Amino acid sequence: MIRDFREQVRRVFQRELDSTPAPPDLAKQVFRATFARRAFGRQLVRQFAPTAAVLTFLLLVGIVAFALRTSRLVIGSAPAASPAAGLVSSPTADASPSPTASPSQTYCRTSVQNGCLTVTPSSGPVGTVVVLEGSGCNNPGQLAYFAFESSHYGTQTGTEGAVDIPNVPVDGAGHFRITFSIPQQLHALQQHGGGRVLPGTYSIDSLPILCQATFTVTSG
Amino acid sequence: MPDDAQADLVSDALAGDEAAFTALVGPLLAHGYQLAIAILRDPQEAQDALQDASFTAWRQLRQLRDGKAFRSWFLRIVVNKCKVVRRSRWWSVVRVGDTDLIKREAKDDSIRDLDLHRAIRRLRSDDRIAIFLYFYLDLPLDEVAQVLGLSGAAARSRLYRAVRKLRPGLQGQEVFQ
Repeated sequence: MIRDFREQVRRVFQRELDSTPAPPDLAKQVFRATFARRAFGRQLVRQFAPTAAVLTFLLLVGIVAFALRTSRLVIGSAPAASPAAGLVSSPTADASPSPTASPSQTYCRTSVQNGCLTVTPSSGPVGTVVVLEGSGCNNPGQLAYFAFESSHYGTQTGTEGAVDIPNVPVDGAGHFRITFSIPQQLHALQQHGGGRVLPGTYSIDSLPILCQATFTVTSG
Repeated sequence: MPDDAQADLVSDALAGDEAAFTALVGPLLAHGYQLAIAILRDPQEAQDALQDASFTAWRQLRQLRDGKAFRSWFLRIVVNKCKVVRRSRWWSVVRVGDTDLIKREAKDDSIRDLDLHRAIRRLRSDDRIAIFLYFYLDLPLDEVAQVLGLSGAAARSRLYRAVRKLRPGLQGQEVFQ
């Protein structure tokens, strides 16, 4: 019975296969396709491997350059020691400088970050209204912060101490312009100095120290 | 083909010898095509599936653990490729038999054959493959199991269930004698 069944199944399948015979060159077609696809794959790799290598190299160079640039910015904008709380000057918007103005002084720093600070005038008595103008003196996305303080340069003259000029608004390009009145008093630094502003040369520094300028107090 | 000769051809093909691969796969193409036709019932699709299977076999020859079991390994690839083709036919209508063929069958063969033909066509694809491998290609049961990716017992069970759908009166001992 099973033999009969087997024969019958064979006949059925054979009939189905007879109606769809294999093409005479089946083997030729199959192997040609197989080896052609293999060769095509290899050719593809050979053709595009150099381009892929170059693109990968450029991508790596870009990543390294970006990382270096970012790390420089971080180093350049490392937070400086915050001045002790004390006297704080309130900047006022854009008043005219004192009539006894001396020529302005501009200091630009280009080594790490382009920061420019112009002090107009650059000398005058206590109470002189100076214009501080410049750009690039703040950390990106933050307000600028300045300090009027005893000069770090050469022999110190005048009073040791500082006055903060905080929260200086900047525009999108980092540009600012404020007026500032030369104070009568400085607060002490690390319990040294402080008191009445005596004639001498003082620094106006941004914090972080991206911009620096000097102002000479001619009389107290 | 002797087992040792086949194992040698496999190792040569692994080394990139196209002639060895041709000698290895060539004798199996006829069976592969018949199997693909039995599953897909379309000559063009069967040919495409066979080409895919050949390329896959060439690419994945390293995965062949036992060089002597090349036939079942290759036929299994053919079955898998055919299943992929069938799955991709979701948009198509159910393929019906050629009416001319059925008319010819009715004229040439007994009604019994025609009934069996219809019953085979109604079988699930996996059952039909099992019947085809065992009864038409005359593969031993363990090789049928390998092609289907089943254990010997599972293949035996599937085959028996399929046979019972075609011929309910047949007993297990008769089928596997």
